[in-house]
Amino acid sequence: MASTGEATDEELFAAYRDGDQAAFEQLFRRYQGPLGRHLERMLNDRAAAEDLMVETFQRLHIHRDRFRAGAAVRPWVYTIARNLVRKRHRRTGLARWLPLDAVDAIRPAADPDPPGGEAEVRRRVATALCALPSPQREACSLRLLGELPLEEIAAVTGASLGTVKSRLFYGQRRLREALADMDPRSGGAT
Amino acid sequence: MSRLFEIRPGGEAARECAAVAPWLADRARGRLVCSEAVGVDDHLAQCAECRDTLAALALVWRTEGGARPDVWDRVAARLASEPLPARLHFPADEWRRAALAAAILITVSWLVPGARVVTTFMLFGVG
Repeated sequence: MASTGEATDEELFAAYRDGDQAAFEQLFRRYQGPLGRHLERMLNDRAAAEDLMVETFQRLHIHRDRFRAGAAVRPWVYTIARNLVRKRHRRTGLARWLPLDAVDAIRPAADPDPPGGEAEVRRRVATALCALPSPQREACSLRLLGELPLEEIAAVTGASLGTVKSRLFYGQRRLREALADMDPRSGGAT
Repeated sequence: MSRLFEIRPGGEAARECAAVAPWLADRARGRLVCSEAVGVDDHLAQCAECRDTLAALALVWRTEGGARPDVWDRVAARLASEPLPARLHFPADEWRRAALAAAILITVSWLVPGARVVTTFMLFGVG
């Protein structure tokens, strides 16, 4: 996740284990965007995503001595988060497929935004993502929002590389179909 | 990017779409490096469906890809209140190995005639 010249995630975590508290904060800030976006999409709830974000790093802290030298930090972080999501889904009784009306529940009661406005686009995108079968939604979210490479998605989900590619292919195709009637080039495709 | 070159020139379009699909997310985020972008862009130039898929992903990224609220303070507060597990001098694996070695030593000392004397000497330094 770190670019050239910056400390790697593994170096930051090693520094934290050696007592450098600032390294943990730096590591957290690297993950706050990608992991936060992914969790929000998997839970369809920003507040719950923030809770799990906090809990993920709390577990990282608690289990820091279990981290093996030479292992990658990012798949570990996302695996912890994934387990927390599954636990939460079990606890709240959510089905494997999120109901579409859950998206409507996050829509403001009095939506002043006109059709085609930003809120409408946001709702349509959230609906399209929620409508994906769970494995495809997870793969697409990890890839696009979580910014994970294919190999790490395979490691986190326990699926083969071929399965991950297949889930991405079909998931993205469903997204294309679901969003086909929206401004097709407004996303800045180049 | 070698995987992208699994696409054979003149291969079926659907196979090319499947091969390019995993890279469209990087393209949508504008983070495809030049060497990868060449293969992807060549395909996109010929495939309207993949261009539409890319546009959909770019729309998702534009909508969902924003910054998230800073919750570090909550993490820090949680860590401060977290009772630290007792730090062992040895990593857990070292303890397991040591326990296993001790168990084997004790078992052998009871099973092998004469070994009990050696074991006792090693452990307690007495004959």
